[in-house]
Amino acid sequence: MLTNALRTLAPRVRTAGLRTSRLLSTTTRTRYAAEPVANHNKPTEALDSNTMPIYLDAQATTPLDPRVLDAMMPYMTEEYGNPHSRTHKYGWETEHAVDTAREQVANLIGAHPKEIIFTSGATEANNTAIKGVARFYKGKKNHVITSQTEHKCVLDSCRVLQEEGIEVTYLPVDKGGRIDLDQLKREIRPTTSLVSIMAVNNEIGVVQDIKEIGRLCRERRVFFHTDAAQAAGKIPLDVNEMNIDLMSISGHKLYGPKGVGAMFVRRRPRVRLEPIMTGGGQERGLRSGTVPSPLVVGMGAAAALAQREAAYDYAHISSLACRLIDGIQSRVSHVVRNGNPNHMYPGCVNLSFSFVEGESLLMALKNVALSSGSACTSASLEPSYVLRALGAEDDMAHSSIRFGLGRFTTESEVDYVVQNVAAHVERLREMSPLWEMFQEGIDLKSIEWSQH
Amino acid sequence: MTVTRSQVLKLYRSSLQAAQQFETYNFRKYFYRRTRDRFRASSTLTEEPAIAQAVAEARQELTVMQRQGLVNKMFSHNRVVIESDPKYASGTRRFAD
Repeated sequence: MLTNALRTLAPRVRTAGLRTSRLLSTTTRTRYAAEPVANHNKPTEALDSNTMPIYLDAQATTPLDPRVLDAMMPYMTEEYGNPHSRTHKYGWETEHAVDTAREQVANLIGAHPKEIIFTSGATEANNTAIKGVARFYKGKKNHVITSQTEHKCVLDSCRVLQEEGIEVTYLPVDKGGRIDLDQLKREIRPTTSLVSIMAVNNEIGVVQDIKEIGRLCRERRVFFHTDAAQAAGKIPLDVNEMNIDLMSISGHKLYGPKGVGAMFVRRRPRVRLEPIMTGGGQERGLRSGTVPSPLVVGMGAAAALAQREAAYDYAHISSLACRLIDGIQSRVSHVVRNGNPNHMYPGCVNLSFSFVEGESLLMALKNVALSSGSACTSASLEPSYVLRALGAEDDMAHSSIRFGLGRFTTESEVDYVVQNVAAHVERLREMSPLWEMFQEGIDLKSIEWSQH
Repeated sequence: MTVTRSQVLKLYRSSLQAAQQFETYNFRKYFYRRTRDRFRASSTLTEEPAIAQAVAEARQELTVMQRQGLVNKMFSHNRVVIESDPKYASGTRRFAD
């Protein structure tokens, strides 16, 4: 309802602006016309310029850890050699650093350093893995399986493949957000080349049964790709134990720099893929282009750090998640946590507040940096496709907010957020006619809404 | 080479001070907490090589924090909202939690 109100409000504001501008000089009018459309996600009341809201959007990105920056600094200042230059010391030193980083990333997931390919991020890794494998084996196998709750870049890669004549099955998920293994088993055909299932969902934090999926795929001799952008460095992953053949990792989701990612491509049994980038033949010819050594060094340092700090970070984030959920649930009624509670990554808490519009709560909570879903879709007011795939009712999908906790989140911040959320939900519910009707005991599902 | 108790305490003190040098609230709090927990966890060590290794790691970490605290000071100019909130900001700039 509030969404509709906002939608109708925006054009009205704009026409009012144009009408007044007619009375003004031509120069002013063009300035009015050039004004961008109102951004609904911006808080109505800006904070003072040096004050920042509390950062609770760890799924969108994480801050660069100062220890990672420390490792990167030499390669941004003095050691500028091209890691592929074999004829001088500049090149050798950078190459050595890149090799160390490759080893650090490999260690994090239990792989061999030669199986790590550096890319520009998890999106590129996903694209290369999915399109690459499907295209390479297209002659004999022309079927790919993925799930409905995958990240946009996986779904879009699959859409491209469909246009090329490859069949794609999108597995549904249960109410908890996990795929059904029996159904996956049934969907695997002799012509299936690849199964791509993400490890941790970016919107609801559900952890899929990667080990079982891997076992199933290995049994049926299908390659298994997992998008571990949200999982690497946060939950334990081992490519051999879990029978993973391809994996995508992102640098900036594990406190590393933006603009770098890694792809794991198994060597035994060998996974072959058609590269998207061609050229100098770097990275085993799978991803040509000079490796960005400072970024790669940062990613390596971030991976090593994540591995070293894994238990400590996990304990901290779990305790914060408990504090957040308990705090909110003890103060606010009718709050639902989305996703299967037994298989969750604690750092991603997706809550639905009944009778409150998620977007209006986001706007009200101007002192907290939050998102209602993935950053890629935060510009639209559409409910998240992930929550819809879970079978969530429209109103619950509209009223969801994702709290992303990370290494640098503090207890005081969580307390502040709990207190703010409780106050604003209460205020918004006071204004909501739905809440009033619910209090009076009217079943909201029985109401027939007029369409307009 | 054995490490004396006073050496460790001095290192601990310097590390906590280095952590406090971060301007960014979240980094400052994190490094303070991490340093404290790391030293507390290591305080139960009895084996000589394990102690030496822990001390070497802590020294390494100290130099990183000192360098990065400086870098952080040069570039940070924002405050997180709770720093100006007396209810939550108590002692954020000092050693207390």
